[in-house]
Amino acid sequence: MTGSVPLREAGLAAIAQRLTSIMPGVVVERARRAPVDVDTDTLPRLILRGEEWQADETEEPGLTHYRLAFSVTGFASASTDLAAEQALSLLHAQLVEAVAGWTPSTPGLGDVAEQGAEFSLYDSDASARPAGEFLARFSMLAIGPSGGPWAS
Amino acid sequence: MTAFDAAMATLLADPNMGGDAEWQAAAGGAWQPVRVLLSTPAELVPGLGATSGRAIAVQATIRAADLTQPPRRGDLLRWAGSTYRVETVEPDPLGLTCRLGLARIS
Repeated sequence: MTGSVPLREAGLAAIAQRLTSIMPGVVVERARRAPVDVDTDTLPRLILRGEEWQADETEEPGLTHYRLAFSVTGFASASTDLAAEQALSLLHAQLVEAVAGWTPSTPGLGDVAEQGAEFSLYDSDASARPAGEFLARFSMLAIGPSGGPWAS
Repeated sequence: MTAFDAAMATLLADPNMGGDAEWQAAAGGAWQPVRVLLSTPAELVPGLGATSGRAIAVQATIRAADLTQPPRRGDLLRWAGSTYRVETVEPDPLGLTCRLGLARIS
């Protein structure tokens, strides 16, 4: 079976759409390579990137269970150091609430699981503006016919 | 005044290099006029993921003799309508000047 939309792309697109609809006050970007300028770019901001792709053919005859890993980097700033830390915590909590345990409606895509996160508040030597970032990791189940990783 | 101190005073007084600002001690008190040499390095911040951050730091160099007390974290510096809090203080080896790392608060 072949299709036009790879399962991986369908999963990442579904996540981006979910974030955009659930978090309207947050800028969501996919696969951004350029650094986020905390002085000029609109914050808060989330950057979604696809990561590893693991296949398991032992779960179900004729089907492959894929594990799509993806990361979301969140950027936030505030007027004080403490407020910046709190803004990062809030953004991360909103992100987890939006995607962890959620199941996309796209056929073949399963639920999203939270893996963990790292947080960093920028040093004042590097940023006059109180700002920071977090890197949150998730994984998503995707199921397709063996040798056919397509969503449609 | 040593030759080095005189050189720094000349640099700070130069209108092309120095600028007018006001300083207030963390404990409060009156704002005090000072001359500052400003720099705003913009650099990549070591990030956590593939998409890194870029931020602008603000640093000001002042003559120690221009202040009534040594600068320290929490002092305020303001110019051009913006106010900054002193986060780091790096005196030069001779104790003539201090480079202040600043956080913008308004």
